Amino acid sequence: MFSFPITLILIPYGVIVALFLFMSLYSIHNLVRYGATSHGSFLATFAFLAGAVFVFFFTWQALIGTDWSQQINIAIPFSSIQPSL
Amino acid sequence: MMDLDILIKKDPDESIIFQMRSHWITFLGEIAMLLVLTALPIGLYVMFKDVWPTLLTGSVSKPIMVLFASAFYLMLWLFFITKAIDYFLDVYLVTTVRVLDVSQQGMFSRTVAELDLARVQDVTSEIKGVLHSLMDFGNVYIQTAGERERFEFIDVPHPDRVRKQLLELVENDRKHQSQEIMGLTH
Repeated sequence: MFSFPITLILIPYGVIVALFLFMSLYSIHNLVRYGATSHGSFLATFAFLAGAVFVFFFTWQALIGTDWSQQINIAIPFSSIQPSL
Repeated sequence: MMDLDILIKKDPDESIIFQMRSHWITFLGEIAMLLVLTALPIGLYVMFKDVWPTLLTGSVSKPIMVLFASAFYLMLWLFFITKAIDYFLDVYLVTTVRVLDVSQQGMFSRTVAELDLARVQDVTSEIKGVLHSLMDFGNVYIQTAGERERFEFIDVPHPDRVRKQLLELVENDRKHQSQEIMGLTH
């Protein structure tokens, strides 16, 4: 059996959030550069940011009270079986 | 309205006559997909709530599930917004001098094709299918004398009206050019 802290699962999540932020900023840059003069681009940017804030807010709300010092234990199958002579 | 100066080196007296993008109904598929995929984790939640309730309340499994769902929704939202920007930035522009086809492909690719009105040989509009007829949208094909033989406006609203306007513009452009030539020779 081996175990690792639950905080480790925040690493892949952090990578996804970083990717999301990078792509979001690039999308907003595209919108501002090529569609700056329209109300549609303003609305699209606003809707996009509102959606992202919504997801982050609910994630944070759902994770309040989590004990991040806990360990995840993973059992290796058959590890308890002793080899017989 | 899109800023012409970003796209082309425009003539001093050139102005945009009209700007179009595909009919909004063509974007409904993406919206439907967003709704279905949004409902998917909610459906799984309802299912697991009865079948395996500890998975959603466990001190270790709950944060894993929450982070997984959050990552899923972030990626889904990003995918949808990329599609929406694709739709929003795919524009057909008609100016007093030329036709422009601005096409956004994903986040990092963009194509701008232009065609002088003087090179337009023939314009055809096409409305095919029940939905297209009911909502009055379809394709407009511009036959050219240039390297790119055909320009296509796909699923644009009121294709017949667009064809008529384009032909009028081509006619005006020809008149304008012949007047210029006459002015030069006399």
